[in-house]
Amino acid sequence: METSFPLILPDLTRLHQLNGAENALEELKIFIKQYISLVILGGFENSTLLLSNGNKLCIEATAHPKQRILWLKSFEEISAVRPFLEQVLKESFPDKEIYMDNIRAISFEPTTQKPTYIIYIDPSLSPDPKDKRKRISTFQMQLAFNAAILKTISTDSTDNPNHQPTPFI
Amino acid sequence: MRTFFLLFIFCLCFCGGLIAQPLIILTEESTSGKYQGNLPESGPAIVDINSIIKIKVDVARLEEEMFRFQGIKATDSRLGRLRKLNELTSLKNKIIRFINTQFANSNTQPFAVYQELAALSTELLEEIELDDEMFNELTSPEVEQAFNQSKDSYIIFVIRYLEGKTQALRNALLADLGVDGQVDSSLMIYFRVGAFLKNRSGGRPIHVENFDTYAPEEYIEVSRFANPLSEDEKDALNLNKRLHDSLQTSTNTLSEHMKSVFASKFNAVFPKSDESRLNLRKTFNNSLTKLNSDATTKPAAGVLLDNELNIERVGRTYQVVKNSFEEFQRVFPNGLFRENTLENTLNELESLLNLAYRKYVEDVSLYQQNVNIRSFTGTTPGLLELRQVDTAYSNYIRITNEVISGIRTIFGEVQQFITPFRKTYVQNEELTEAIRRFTVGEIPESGFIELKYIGERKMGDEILIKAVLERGRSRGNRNFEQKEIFRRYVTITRIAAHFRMSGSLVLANPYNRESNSAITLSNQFQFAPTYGVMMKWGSRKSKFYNEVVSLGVGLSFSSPDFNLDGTPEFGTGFMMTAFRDIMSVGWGWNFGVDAPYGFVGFNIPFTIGGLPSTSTSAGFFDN
Repeated sequence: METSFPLILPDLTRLHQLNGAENALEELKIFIKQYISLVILGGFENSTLLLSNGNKLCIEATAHPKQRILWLKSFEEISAVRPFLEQVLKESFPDKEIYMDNIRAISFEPTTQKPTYIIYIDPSLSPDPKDKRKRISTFQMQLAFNAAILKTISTDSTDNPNHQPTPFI
Repeated sequence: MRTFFLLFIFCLCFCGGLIAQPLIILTEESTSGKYQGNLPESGPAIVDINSIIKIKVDVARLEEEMFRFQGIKATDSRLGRLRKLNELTSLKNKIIRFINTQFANSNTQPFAVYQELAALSTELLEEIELDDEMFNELTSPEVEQAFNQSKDSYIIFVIRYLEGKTQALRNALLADLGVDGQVDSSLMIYFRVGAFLKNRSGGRPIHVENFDTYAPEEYIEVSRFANPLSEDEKDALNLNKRLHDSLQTSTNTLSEHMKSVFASKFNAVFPKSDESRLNLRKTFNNSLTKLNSDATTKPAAGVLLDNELNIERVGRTYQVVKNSFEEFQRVFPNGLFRENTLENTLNELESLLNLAYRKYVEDVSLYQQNVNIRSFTGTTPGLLELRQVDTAYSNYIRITNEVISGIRTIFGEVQQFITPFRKTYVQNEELTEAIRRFTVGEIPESGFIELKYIGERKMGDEILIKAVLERGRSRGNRNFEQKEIFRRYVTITRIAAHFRMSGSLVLANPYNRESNSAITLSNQFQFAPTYGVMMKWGSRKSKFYNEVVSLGVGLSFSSPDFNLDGTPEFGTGFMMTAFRDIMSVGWGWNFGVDAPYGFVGFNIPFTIGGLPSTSTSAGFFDN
């Protein structure tokens, strides 16, 4: 099922939002099934620049056509999907202690719709020393997308209207 | 216990350092790609005659080595950082190659391509993540903003960032050394790799892709199916050998002749300058004694004393030139081919002579102009003696310059005469201008030698691969220094399975003659000419196997005469050869008398019963 999600800004063609909090959970599930997705929760410092860079990661020449970002900005939307996210995170990362209040972004792979990478609000609060760099940045968003791509078993290829021709490096 | 543990850890680290990876790794790859393997770091290195030798350079460690050679202390932490950045660069090149290959022609890729790219870029990013400084800089708002403005994809943006950091570090190190990378500084360090094909008749440089500008030679693939040499070919080989011997004798005679001509010229040149030197010394001593004897001329004696050291130095260098020349004369003509120390000493003497004399003239002039000295008498005391020394000095300078010029003329004549000989000898190993120089930041990660394109080659030939670091470009420069950092001989031989045909004589034994009345042979063995088609193969590990054991298996076709009717029958069977086909054993079936037979053979050049053996090819196995 191919569903279109509203764009947050018209020029950021890979940065989407939900249609309000009412059907947030259902829409989120459709989104993560449909795309190689990065779900970002809440507002943060320098968000305009970083979201623009995140969008760039999805349209650059070497990006997979199905890479998308979903930004859940409002408290209501986040609250509606929070139990679901907490559950899937605990299932996929049984060895990690999950504090939902400290989660900034999660990448999902579309085949099993499981989370693949977590970006934290304050990585120093995570007891796992390997997480100490995982604060939101273009660097971490790229790693999150990479993790989702690597875990994806198969995916249908679709046209990517914004896909740029590859420059010869 | 703890001390022991720490000691163990120290030893482990120390040994780890000692057995570090070499700067250059050689690998062999067959042209079909079926075989790939590293050549051993020590012991025999043997490759197939039609293979590709790949030269892989550890750029990260090499750059570190180059900076150390240039004068940066090994303890400088920047070297470790440069190494780390260069290690990342190696991964970077892999990513760029992958993107260029996979994404250049099409926008839609199989999913596996995205996964491969994701794996490669994750590897690079995770390496960067380990480095506080780089990670913090890359995730800073300034760099985030820079990426936002950039047209590159993120991984390429990161790669450009790494390249910028690496180059900045190189520039900082070069700046510390006072070397301007943009111009040819005599302190600049260059990396060079050369390869030479060597055998008994000499050697020649061969093309290494990415490292020199030599043109590839004629394409020659050594066939897998080799015939023994024909008689004409053997005659041609013998003729070549005779010509070679004759040339060698002539060269020796020529060398002796040149040596005597050279010596006579040399002896005629030196005594003259010895005379002028003695005259200078005598005039100098006499003048000094005279000037010292009177208080008014003592200041003039000071001028002489100030210049005595220089005259001594000139004398010593003169003696060095003389000794070097005598040594050169003794080892002639080999001295011409080696490092030209004599030429350097001549340059040194020439420069020292002119400097020393100029200094003396200046000192005399200053003495003359000194008002205090003239104020006593109105004249310059001791000037006459100083001028006498000046005359002897200038005479000595003039004559010695003539000597130097004479030596150079003789030297040039001889060099010109022997240029054809010198060329082949020098090209054996000399890194000529065709071999490219690389400074830090430019070094290719790999190169290769495609043996099919190096022209004529034979089994057992060797390829010398050597890499050097050089300070400066010109050997004439006093800062020039060359350090050999890699030297490895690789033997080329036939390793892949190949076929060879060879004729020999065998001793055939029809072992069940009792049950076959057609066999009338009374002796146990009968000589029979045999022709064999053998499959042979070589070893990458053992020279002994290749040069001595050299097994072969194949079919034999022989013509025994077991019924002794004077007409040979036809027999065929299996045979195995060893020791470069000199020995053979096998089993065959005689179709003429329907009898099996076993045989042993000795493939040595002899004639029996008027039947010439065609087996001498064992001695001419090279093809």
